[in-house]
Amino acid sequence: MVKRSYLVLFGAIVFSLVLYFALPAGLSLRLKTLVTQLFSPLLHAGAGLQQWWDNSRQEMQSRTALLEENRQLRAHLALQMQDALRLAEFEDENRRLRTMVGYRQAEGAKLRPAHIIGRDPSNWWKTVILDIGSDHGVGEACAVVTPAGLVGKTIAVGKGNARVLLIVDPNCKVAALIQETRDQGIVEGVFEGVGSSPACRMDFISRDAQIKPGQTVITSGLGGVFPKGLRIGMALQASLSESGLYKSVWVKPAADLERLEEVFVICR
Amino acid sequence: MTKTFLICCALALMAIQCSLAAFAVFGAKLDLVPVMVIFAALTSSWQRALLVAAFSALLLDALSSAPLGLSIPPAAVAAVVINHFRRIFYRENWLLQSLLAAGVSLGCSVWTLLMLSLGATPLPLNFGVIGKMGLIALLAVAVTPPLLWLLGRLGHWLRQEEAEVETF
Repeated sequence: MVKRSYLVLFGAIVFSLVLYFALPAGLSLRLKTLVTQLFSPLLHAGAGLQQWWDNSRQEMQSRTALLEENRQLRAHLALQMQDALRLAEFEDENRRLRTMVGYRQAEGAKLRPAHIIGRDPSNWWKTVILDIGSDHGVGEACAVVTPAGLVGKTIAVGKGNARVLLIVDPNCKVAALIQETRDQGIVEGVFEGVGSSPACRMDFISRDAQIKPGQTVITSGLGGVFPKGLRIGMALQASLSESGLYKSVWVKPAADLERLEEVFVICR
Repeated sequence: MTKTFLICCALALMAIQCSLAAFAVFGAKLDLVPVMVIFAALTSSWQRALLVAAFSALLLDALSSAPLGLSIPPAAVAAVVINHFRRIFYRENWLLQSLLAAGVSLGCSVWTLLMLSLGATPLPLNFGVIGKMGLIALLAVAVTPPLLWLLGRLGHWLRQEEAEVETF
């Protein structure tokens, strides 16, 4: 009996390794999408529960705190309105100049708003699940953003849901550049340790690059997945790689990836 | 416990784990696969324990972005080994349940990181990641005894216990 049990166990391990190494990526993604779709009602319920909890906590905030927040928001809004006026002027000027030099106007991206209904239940991967899918025009490898910055890209799309690989996941690679110096590199996620907040690292930057903490990291548009100019985050500490061939810099994501609720999918 | 009851428990625990995925303690999330592995191994035959462990692990892989099949080997090995020694275990003992949970959880984390190191992702062996593995195990230790008690009571209440399975 014992021998038989270990034989079956051996078979199960071989089966799992075959699944792990030999299952085509497309089939694996379809299976995952199917299971996610089956669990979708539960995920919606979980998201509703979390929203109720957040709303209840907000309702319990004191009046003083709310007044203070209101004052700060009004001040922030006034600044934003001034910025918006200036930007409208710049946009108009930019359009006229582009027409003058015959630059082809890029098509405006279609933004689809979406809610986060689920997060990756495992500890080592960073994905979220959206409540929209192929029925709403979302495809695979679409960029996902918030007003603050880049969130990630869609990797598996079902009819009514889509899985988004966050930029802090080690499997996510984004072609990027430093806005101030125009130095290019690749931003990738790193495994998050205990107590540390999700972060990513920009590698393969020229070793002559002059990178200072606080500089802005944006998408470079190379690769075609992420449109150019999306804010990824802020450069932190730069260092030379172990091989000494290139520089690396830690990047703090601009979007608060731990408290995501609503995002926009850039559909092509 | 009967096969249907165990599979329903696995589905319910995975639904709970998905619902609680937004909550993390210093970056560590609750992992309920060890709970299911230990419960199935202590309360049923090795075939059922193996089936339920593999099913739970596969479900976790399918619901996360982990490669399919990654979590099955540690869960399956743990289920068969615990089941093999269950005659000498006093399964109502909370300390034993906690130790088993810590062992299964650490085994799953170590296996995951080892398998990842075979791919393109370099193995991140630093104090932060080791600490996170410890914290995940601690969370499993904290939730396993109460959940095992709850599942046991539920099985008893629904008359899902099998007559041939000995009780201590």
